[in-house]
Amino acid sequence: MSAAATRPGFVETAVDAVTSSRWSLYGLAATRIALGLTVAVQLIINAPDRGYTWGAGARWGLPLRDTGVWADWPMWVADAGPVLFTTVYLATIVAALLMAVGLFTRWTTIATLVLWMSLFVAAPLIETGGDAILRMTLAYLVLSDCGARFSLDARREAAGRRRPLRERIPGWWIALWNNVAVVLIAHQIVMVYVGSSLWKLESDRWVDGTAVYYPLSTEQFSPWLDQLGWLYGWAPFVLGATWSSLVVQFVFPLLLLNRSTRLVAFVVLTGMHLGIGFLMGIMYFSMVMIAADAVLVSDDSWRRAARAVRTRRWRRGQVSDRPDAVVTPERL
Amino acid sequence: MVLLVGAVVAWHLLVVTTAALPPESTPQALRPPSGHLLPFFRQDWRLFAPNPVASDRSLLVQPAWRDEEGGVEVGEWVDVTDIELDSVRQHLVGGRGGYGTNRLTFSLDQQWAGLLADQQAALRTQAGVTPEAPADREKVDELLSGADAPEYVRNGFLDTDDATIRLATDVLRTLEPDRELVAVRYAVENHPVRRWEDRDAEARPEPTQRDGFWWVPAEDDPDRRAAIADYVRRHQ
Repeated sequence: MSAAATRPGFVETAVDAVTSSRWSLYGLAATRIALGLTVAVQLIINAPDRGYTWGAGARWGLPLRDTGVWADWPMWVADAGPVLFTTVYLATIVAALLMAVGLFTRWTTIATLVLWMSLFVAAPLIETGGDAILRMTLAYLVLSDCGARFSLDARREAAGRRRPLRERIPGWWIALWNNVAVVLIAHQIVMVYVGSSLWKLESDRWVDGTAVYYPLSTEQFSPWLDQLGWLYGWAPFVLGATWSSLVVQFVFPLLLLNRSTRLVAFVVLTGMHLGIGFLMGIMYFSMVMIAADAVLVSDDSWRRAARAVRTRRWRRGQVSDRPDAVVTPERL
Repeated sequence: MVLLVGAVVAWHLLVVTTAALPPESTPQALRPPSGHLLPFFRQDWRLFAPNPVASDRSLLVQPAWRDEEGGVEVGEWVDVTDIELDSVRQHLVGGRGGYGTNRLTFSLDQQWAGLLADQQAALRTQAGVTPEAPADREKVDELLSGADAPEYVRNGFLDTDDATIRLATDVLRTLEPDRELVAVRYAVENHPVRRWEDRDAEARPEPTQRDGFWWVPAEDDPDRRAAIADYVRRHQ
């Protein structure tokens, strides 16, 4: 038989790639932790205002809710009494925290998604882009093996207190759905950035570099206007912030093609999101975007970063054993 | 099986891609149907684009109270958005409730802009509607129905006004719980920021205000009123 005849074709190679190993396990774990904490922290901070924001107080929007795009979704939380509503609210916080620590990960991810959505549809008027990314990423995470790293499930499994998933379900099946989730989340993130940049290119204010000035001059999207108003009228800041966000979003797919530019993209976008979150008062949106971006950091990058940190600690004498080739982020 | 999953995922990626891009960027013929994405996978990533927010929009509400002689006394405008902004100003992580009326004012203006000129004219004259004789939904529907407008436009306007009046009623009853509320109306205030070229000017341009008309106060919902009252008291 010739070598050409035994060489696998494109389809076989692709099938093998998506079924032989699980991609981005550390990235998925980071996304899971960050999203869980974002949901929990958001609900804890908003707890005093919960009744107005998602509870009985939000019923003023009933005529809009009943005819809007979410009208077909179960509205039982919106119509619940204060006790049941608060119970659901607390359950959502607990589910999100359990998801973050990775205990019964798949079930707590599903619970977080279902409970969060039942709160969300009670007040869809306050929906932001962050809510949309949050629900889609949570839905995709359910398909993934996001509890395989940085989780209590992984610890219990290593200690023999939990039966590994691969003993119950074929490994290729787990890998397939995990990798599908990675592709769906990564693609969604790319489309957020590319779509947003193309919308921005349709406006003179983004192209002439002044766009960021406008929302930062309103009271509603500028919580630090009294303290930082001077900065928002300073041309280099406004020009730099406007164009850098436009450019980095537009070229984002290209930056993903190379390991070093991917790192640059991740660092720049994280900085941009933190800046937007702080200056414009939309920290939830920023945290959700940073969490979703984490999927794009490959497992190799996590291991290299872990090795670099371990080496530095070894040089400082903080750890005794010399770092070897198998340093993992869990063994820092 | 793997190929089937791959095909479904590829189709989903294609639909999401074309739905996420501005309509002008892909020919209509190349855009597959994307209705099934709504609402869970809705792709709207304008995010301060194309035109960034350039004004503060506020919801103002005004009461008409029964006075001691049995007449009607019109009260001062109350800025509900300003109450909400208390949970946003100088907060590292702001309150989600702080953006409700900001979004509502967009809907109110959108619904108003969707009405025909005849309908807007009918509402501006507010035939027979006064604080002493406020309108209910039936009356407003009657004012709108003279013109030949699609029903969904009329209903969209009525639903948005209806929701606004519920909020206004509960806010005003919170502020003066012992008085009898006879009528309620709202206004949308739009206060533009200085243009970039004029950023060193002393004052911002004057705000504009579009007044609604007098409505009968909303039916009472004790749980709703209690939750709104609690919020207003803490952020007033």
